[in-house]
Amino acid sequence: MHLKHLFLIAWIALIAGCGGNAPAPTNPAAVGVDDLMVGGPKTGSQTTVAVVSPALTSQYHVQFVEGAVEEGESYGWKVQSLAGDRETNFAAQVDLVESAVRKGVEAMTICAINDKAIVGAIEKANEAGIPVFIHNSLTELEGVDIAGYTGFDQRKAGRLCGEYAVKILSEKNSDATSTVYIITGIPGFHSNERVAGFHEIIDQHPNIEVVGSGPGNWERLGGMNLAETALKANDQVDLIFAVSDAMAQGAAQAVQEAGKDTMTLGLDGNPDTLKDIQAGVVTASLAVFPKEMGKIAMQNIKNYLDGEAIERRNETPLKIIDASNVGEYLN
Amino acid sequence: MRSFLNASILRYIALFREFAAVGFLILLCLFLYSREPQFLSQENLKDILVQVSAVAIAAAGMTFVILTAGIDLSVGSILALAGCSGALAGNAILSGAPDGGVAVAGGVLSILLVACACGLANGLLITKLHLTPFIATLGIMSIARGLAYVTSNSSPVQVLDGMRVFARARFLELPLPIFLLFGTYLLSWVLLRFTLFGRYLYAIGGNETATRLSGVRVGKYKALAYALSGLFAGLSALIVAGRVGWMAPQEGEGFELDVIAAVVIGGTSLYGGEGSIWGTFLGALIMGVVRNGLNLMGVDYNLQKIVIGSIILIAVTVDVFARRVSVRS
Repeated sequence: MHLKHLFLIAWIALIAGCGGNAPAPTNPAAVGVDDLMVGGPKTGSQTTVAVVSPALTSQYHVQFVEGAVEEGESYGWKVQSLAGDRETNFAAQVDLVESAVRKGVEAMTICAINDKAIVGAIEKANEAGIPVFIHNSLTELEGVDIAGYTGFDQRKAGRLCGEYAVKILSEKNSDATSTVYIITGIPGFHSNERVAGFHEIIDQHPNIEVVGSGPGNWERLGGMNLAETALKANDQVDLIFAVSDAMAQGAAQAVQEAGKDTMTLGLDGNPDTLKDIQAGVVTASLAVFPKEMGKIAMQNIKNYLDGEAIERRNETPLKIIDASNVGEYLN
Repeated sequence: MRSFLNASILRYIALFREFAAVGFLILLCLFLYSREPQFLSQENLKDILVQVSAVAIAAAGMTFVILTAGIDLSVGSILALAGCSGALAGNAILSGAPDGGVAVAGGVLSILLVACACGLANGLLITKLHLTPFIATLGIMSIARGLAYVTSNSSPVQVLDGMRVFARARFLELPLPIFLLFGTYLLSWVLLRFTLFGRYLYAIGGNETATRLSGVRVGKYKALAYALSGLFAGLSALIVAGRVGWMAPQEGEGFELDVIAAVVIGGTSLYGGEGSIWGTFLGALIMGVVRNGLNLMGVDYNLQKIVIGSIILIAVTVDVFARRVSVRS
């Protein structure tokens, strides 16, 4: 028993005592980077910027971080990448922002898992007076201070996919009826907006018929299962549109196995999808250039820290990549 | 005589283990401090305790369950369902009556009631229908997660400011979750150490049939253990809801694995009958310290998973080894 008590006392002593050795600033933002880096491997008054991702389980966020680190290091900054263990761990994002605040970063850019359930995390940074940027979203957050947004318009991305669908379907069937199956993500902002944008365009074309849709849960296997069922249930499916590349790749695999000529359209423009496009497995994908987005987010932060005026909304480029231009983007 | 010897050896092993765990924790802290001086700042130590509080509190409940040789896979889903329905209840009461205090009380009470009811459902399925704990809680895990999506209409629910007090307010400079954390552990310690309920849980885990034959109402105590596990998951929901500000139906996916890991690192045997509440506390703390320290150092989360997995394996290997030594002697 006494050991257990000893442990408790030791921990409480740690809390009470260590404060004396390394006094905690009441406002970490007011403390220079030099004070926080004592004994650390870093040099001088290097600017540190934190990039908070939901999780690094998808290529998308990994590429964003790569772009951000590359750009940040070209300014001589230290870019600290922080990420949760899975894209559903909202509480972890609060922990990560807390860590960035303790570390005393000059600024941070956050990709929220959800544009509402991020408020608690941003409050932590606001309280510490650290400027917060949001990436991969242009939706204004309420009740918190945000310095700027970098991302692409999800609905516009859906519309661009819709326009491309209209183009390739009319090339294939001219005025005859074409059939489309839609694979959504887990219902939520990103999936809903993309699907809505796609509908806005194709609903204007009475000769394009949507024969069904279902959630592929953002996963390759989910896309494959749905496509398999859709191909069996319908005599002819001309196009499968999936709101993410992984699901489009799964659908393309099902199309191949069923021996059909169904076209597949994804949304992301991931490097491995580009290879599939070149190989003729996937028809096309709307590239959203996450690495570019990482760089743009960092440029924006640099301008802000340099005291220049910045755009509140920074829209990042979007481009359809198919067999005709895939060569330019493969390296 | 022989069994007496064994018992005292086991006690030494338990002591050795806790010594080892505390020693490991201290070494870990010193290492992280040498890499990142901010680690041992007063504010960061408070952060660590707040960050572990949700997992640690649910792990206290899980300890009751695992001591009976059971398991509760549903705590993550219970956290989401209780959090979402409590947040919704708070909002609904606020829109009906102008008194904010009533809404906050109603919301908080709903969180705890829903969580406790889910836990009780687990307990009744196991004791009345004789389902194995793994299956019963797997079923409730799925049902509670589904209900969380249905009640919240698949989107996050805003949590009343008043309800967030439990996670954000400070008392004597310390954030409230720290008090909830220590309060839960003191209560659990008292229950396990000084009440019949606690003694019976150990007995049930050691030999359920023998315990039943000696006249103990095993079903009642087991059901109570699951109800407590649910209730504690509700307390965790209160902290998570307060910290995040919105309660999403996806919240807490995989939470049960962190909770079970804390209990296992703490030395409680999955076969039941052996373990201590402070061991679980240490287990949760070790995981929290690793996560926080590696986050400060900017280490990739995937590497953190590898580190935590290794700690689980090392902790359990030490247990197995110690037990084998005790059997041989």
